[in-house]
Amino acid sequence: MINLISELLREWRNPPSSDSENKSSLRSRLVDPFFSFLESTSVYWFPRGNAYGFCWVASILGCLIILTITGLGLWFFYSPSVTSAWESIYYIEEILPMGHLIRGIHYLTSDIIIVLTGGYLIYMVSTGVYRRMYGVVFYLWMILLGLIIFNSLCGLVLPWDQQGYWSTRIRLDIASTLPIFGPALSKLLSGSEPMGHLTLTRSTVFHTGLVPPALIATFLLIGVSHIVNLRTENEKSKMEPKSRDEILNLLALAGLFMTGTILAIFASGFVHIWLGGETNWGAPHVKAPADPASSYPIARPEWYFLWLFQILKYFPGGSMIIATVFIPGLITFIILGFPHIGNLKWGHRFNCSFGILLLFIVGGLTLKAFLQDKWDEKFQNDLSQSKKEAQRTIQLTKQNGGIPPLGAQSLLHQDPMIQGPELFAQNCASCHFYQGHNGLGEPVEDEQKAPDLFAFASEEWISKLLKMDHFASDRYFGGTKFKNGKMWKFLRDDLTELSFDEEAQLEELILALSSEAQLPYQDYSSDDSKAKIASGQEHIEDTFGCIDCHTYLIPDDEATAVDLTGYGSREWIINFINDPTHPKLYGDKNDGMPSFKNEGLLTDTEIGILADWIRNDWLGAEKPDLSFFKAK
Amino acid sequence: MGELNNENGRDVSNPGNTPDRRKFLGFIPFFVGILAIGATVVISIGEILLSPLRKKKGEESDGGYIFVTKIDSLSASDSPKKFKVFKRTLDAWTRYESKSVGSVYLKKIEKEDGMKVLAWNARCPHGGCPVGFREKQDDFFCGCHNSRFTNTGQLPKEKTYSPRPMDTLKVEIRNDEEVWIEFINFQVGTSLKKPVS
Repeated sequence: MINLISELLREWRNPPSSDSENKSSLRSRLVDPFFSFLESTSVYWFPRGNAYGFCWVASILGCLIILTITGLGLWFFYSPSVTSAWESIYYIEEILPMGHLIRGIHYLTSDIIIVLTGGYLIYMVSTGVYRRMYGVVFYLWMILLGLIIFNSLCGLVLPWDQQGYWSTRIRLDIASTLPIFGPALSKLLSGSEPMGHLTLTRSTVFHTGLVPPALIATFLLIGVSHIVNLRTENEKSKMEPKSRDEILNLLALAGLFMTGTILAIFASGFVHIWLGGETNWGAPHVKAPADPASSYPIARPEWYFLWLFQILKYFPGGSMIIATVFIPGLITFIILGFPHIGNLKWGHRFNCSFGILLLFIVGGLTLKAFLQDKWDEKFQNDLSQSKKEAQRTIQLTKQNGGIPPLGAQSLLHQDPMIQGPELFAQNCASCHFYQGHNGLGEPVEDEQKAPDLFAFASEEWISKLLKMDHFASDRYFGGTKFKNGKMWKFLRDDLTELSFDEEAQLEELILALSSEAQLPYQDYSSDDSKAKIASGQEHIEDTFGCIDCHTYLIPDDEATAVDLTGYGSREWIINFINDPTHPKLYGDKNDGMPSFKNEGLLTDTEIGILADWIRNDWLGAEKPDLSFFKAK
Repeated sequence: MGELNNENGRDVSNPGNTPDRRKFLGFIPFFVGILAIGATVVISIGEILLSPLRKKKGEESDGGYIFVTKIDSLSASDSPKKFKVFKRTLDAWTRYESKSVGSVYLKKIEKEDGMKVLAWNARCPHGGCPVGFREKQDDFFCGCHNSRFTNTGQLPKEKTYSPRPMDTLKVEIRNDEEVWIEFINFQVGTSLKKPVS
């Protein structure tokens, strides 16, 4: 392969039909002197023997260049503040042409460069080159790896998304437990407590302004040390200057490695997409915006720190410091000692065995942490919830025509689809159910004390309500004092054993009552249903005599039961949550439901969100799956 | 000194000594320059980088207590209930009238001599993750590193990850119905309960 490429290159350099015109061309003026220069100074550049190390370094250089260029590109659009960081990433990903690609490459290259730099350390140890003359170079590589990881961590918080925010927050918390300088270090890195604007401005400076120059300087130092080392070594061993062909071979090999790196970047892109369904790290797309007030139990460190995360699980209680300080410190200390240990008798073998053992342990822990999450149902549920939130934010932003000045969070905070389940689970689910769960899809262990509000006031919901057995079941009023009340007696006495005609009338009544709700997923516009609703209204008033107790359309001060005018509409539900003890609703018959507004338990906005959510009325809502009512 | 030659400031009486002094004098502006630059660097960059270590000024507080909810929303028969805590906060230059600074779990307890409200910070004392309450197991549980606490926030009998029980917070009942809480975040990962300053 390599030979083939160098053959091609040689042919390109010396085409078979060379005429004199070509000789004075670009090649003779630029290319030839370049090669002559390389030839005459080859002792400085090229190692003897195999050249994989040389090529490996070329790949890392390639990564650094890619990172610098794409990073500069992103910097043009990034805005560090808590109300604009996520928003500017959204702009890069969703609006800016090719923005997604550029950010994806930046993101993936930052992973690849860690693999390559770590891999180079393994290469140096396994081949023993670290012993010969590479004392300083070995340390420089360690510094380089440290800087790369530090920069990568600084970059993670910049998008101000849930994953970046929480993993950074936990990292800073752990840093603050370090002895003596821990709290100060944590504060210096975060810029403010709690994290906020200043964390972003600070991390931006680290990520773009301070660390990259340090990184490049370290890399150049490594280059200089290599050249110095190579010269002494090559001169000592009296290496012949490399011929043009050999140089071409080497350059071709380096080119191959660089191409390989680029290919690896794209390959890892596919791996990320493939894993994207199961991990919450890596996949370079817009994630849910950071919400410091939320619970985000699925915060995980980046893949290269997953093993440290896993180690924490084995050190309970006060022994946590062993996992956060002693173990990583000891490992770093031993690795830093490698060049010295290597010169002792058996030293190299010790280093190699230590390295292999370490790789196995780290790999095993990483795999374990990964698999534990993969098989954890709760984790996966929370993960998909977070993904839903991310997609929802994008959807809302697009619908809104942009992000409001207060940031994307303000869109999410007013969204029934996202906030409804949370509010329901917190405020309603101790009595009410929603489709058999607590609103968030989690099972409820307690007994059901009040009706299931899924698809409340829909035809299906009402038609079950009007059956005596269902009315008294847990799913409706079985847990309340209405269980065997007046309504139930009415259902028992007057609404059982209906004739065929009466069944049809009841159906019209149900449609009429349900139409009061004007639910977004029910259609009342056809002529047929209009006619049915009209006769259904008559049935409410006359045929079945609902208005003997209920108010319907015509105000009735003597009504003793819930007002059916606008039953299930947004306004009706809001009134109900506000104050169920209102005379038009349950009045003094109310069975334990709090007056959420009057008691100051919920704000107007929150009550409105709950009403919208119960009505399935939000942007882009689909008709709910009503098969829930068919079961049983 | 009196014997200075006006021509070029050379001390003719001691020819070997003077050039050194002149050299030294020539270095003074150089040192001053270095000092000036150094001072600028130290003062500006040092101040900027180290500013987070300074104590914040002008944080107003109502004795540290924050209104969380009304007592009616708690019932002695319920398991601990989670509430977000909102506070007037300042993030660098942005003033938030009401911003969530964390969450607490509240639990009402009926006793012979009246009722009492217990409050815990919902942040795990181990690594700072949000702790959840599991109805089925009747305990507090943190999904990050599987820290477990009893339903009163205590460390369970078996070994667990957290170095200390869940952080309890001071509660005040005002006007017989309002639950006020002294909301503090504590440093994680230590067995001592030390407030984050």
